[in-house]
Amino acid sequence: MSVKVGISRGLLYYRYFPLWQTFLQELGCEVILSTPTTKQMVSQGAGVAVSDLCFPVKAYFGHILSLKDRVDLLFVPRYISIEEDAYMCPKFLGLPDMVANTIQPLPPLIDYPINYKGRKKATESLFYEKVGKLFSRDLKKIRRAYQVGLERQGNFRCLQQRGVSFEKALDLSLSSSDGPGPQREVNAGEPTIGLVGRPYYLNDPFLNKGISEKVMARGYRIITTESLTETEVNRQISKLSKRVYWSFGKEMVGSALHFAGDPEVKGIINLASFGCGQDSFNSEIVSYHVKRMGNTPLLSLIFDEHWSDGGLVTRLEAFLDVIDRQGKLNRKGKG
Amino acid sequence: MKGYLGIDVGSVSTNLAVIDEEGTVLCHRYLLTHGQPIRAVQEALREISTYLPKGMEIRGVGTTGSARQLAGVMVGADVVKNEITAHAIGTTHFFPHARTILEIGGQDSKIIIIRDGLVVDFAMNTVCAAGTGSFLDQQALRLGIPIDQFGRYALRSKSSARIAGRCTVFAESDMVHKQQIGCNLEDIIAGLCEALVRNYLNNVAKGKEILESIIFQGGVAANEGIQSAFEGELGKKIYIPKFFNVMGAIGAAFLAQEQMDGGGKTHFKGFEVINLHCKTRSLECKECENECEIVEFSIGEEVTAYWGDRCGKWENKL
Repeated sequence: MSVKVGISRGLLYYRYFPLWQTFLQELGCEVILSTPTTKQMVSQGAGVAVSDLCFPVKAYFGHILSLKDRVDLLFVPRYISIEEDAYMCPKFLGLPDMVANTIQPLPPLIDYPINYKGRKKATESLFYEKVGKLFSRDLKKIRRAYQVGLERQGNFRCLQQRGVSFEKALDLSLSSSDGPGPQREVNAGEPTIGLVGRPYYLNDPFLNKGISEKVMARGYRIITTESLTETEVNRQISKLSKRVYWSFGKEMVGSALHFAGDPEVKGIINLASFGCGQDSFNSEIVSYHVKRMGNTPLLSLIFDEHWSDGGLVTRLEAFLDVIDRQGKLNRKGKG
Repeated sequence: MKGYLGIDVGSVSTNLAVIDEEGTVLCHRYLLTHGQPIRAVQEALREISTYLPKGMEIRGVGTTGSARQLAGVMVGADVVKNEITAHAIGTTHFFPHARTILEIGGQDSKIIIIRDGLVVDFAMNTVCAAGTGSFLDQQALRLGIPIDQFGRYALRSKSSARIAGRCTVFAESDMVHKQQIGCNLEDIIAGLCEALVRNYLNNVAKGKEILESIIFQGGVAANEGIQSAFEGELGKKIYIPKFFNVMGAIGAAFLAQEQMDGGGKTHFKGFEVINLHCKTRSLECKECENECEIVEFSIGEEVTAYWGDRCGKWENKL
């Protein structure tokens, strides 16, 4: 019987799942993924978590609770750094410890670190070799599994960068090993809204209270932080007087600046977490530079485990009204 | 004669306004909601119907405020809009040169930045309702002063007491402390007004460029103490419009006019809704794990609307 490895549908799942799942499956593991986030999961997660954690980590605990009794191992890697001169959020550095000290009993955790610092490029492959050795003695097989995983991961990110939605990119990259099919989607003339945030805020409709659907229902097209390549992000970041220390912070600030300079983007929505230290200044950097670069309307939303979406609806509606009314005037002016 | 009706149902007050085709405000009402939005809307409609010119035809209805959806379903609104847009539309009609709107209502406060007659930015209070109307009401009650006298007390102060305004709980304990050490009421009230203004400027208006003309509206604009504290803090003239406490309703009426100019017939159910037996009930949908809270609205025995579901299953049921 194959080993059941549990993966929480939270946090870095939204960035690395194609690689994780492919790698584990290639080595004969059965991957058990938790269901999409539910109210019950969040209540239970928030119930066990210390109160000053951010909402996504609380939800992550809920996913762990829903998985722990039906898997042999839990995959909770310790992401410390994935690139030079930038770190992941401290909550990711301590995630396996927080999980282990909050929820008991637990199946064993796969919690090896990924730390770019000092190890350069080998860090990721070394991590997967360590994980692989839990399931196979054949190093060649492990390396091949990693290569297949990387390929699918590459396809997945490539699809996202062509504007394909998270769910669709995930499906496409996992269902075949062919290269990405669709080219970057051509804008059909709908006005575009740039959504800035971390992968888990952009893609978990429970966390973001369905913001994408709400924006699209008003006739807008959406592009997100994830549709930018690393080069595009770095090009924007290099204009700043000081580098951004956090990987996702870099993506958020870089994409906001990119959107602010894109005449097709009619408005920018910045998704931040209540109680997130990084977001508190990322949001400030974003609003400072967006304002300085011109007049793209910017809406900053702060999320927490509040159920009601009344406040969100009011702000979002008013924000889109601002853009609608500006658009109407511009059209009149031209006509 | 034809007109448009605007309804603004907020946490504290329910306001109605009727405008004519030229945008003149024909009549308006300001009533306390008392936690019963349906009854408040019916009562306000009853009162306003007696002021309307004979033979007045309502050509469109707009609702706004936190109970905009409920009010909209109840009266048959042609447009249901958020209070930020409604306030901006109302104010820019009377003050085409307005560049900043400060609005403090019962439980929320907002700042709206306008340039060339268009909203370009806005903000609302987030986690804290310190300094909104409800808190002032509560303090007036505690001090035994009618709320409409509050501002006059503040203006009589010669040297205001320093009160911490970042949280209502701290503000209240600070006020009690100042009373205990012997500060007089006028100075404490003036200090409170200044604290609320500081709190507003540091939180809600943080990072916004407050340019003139500055319009101050919402129920709290009735308080001269707050107006004078704003002028002191900003060093700029603050205008309070004649219709400061019903501007949302007026904006909703303008939005209704704008909507109906696009053609079509109004959905307004008429003033008969005054006598209908309307009720709401909330239920939790168990069909999926989102467990949405659904509101069911019925007139008499007949359910006429549902809302609150994410998937639209209930909303489209009828």
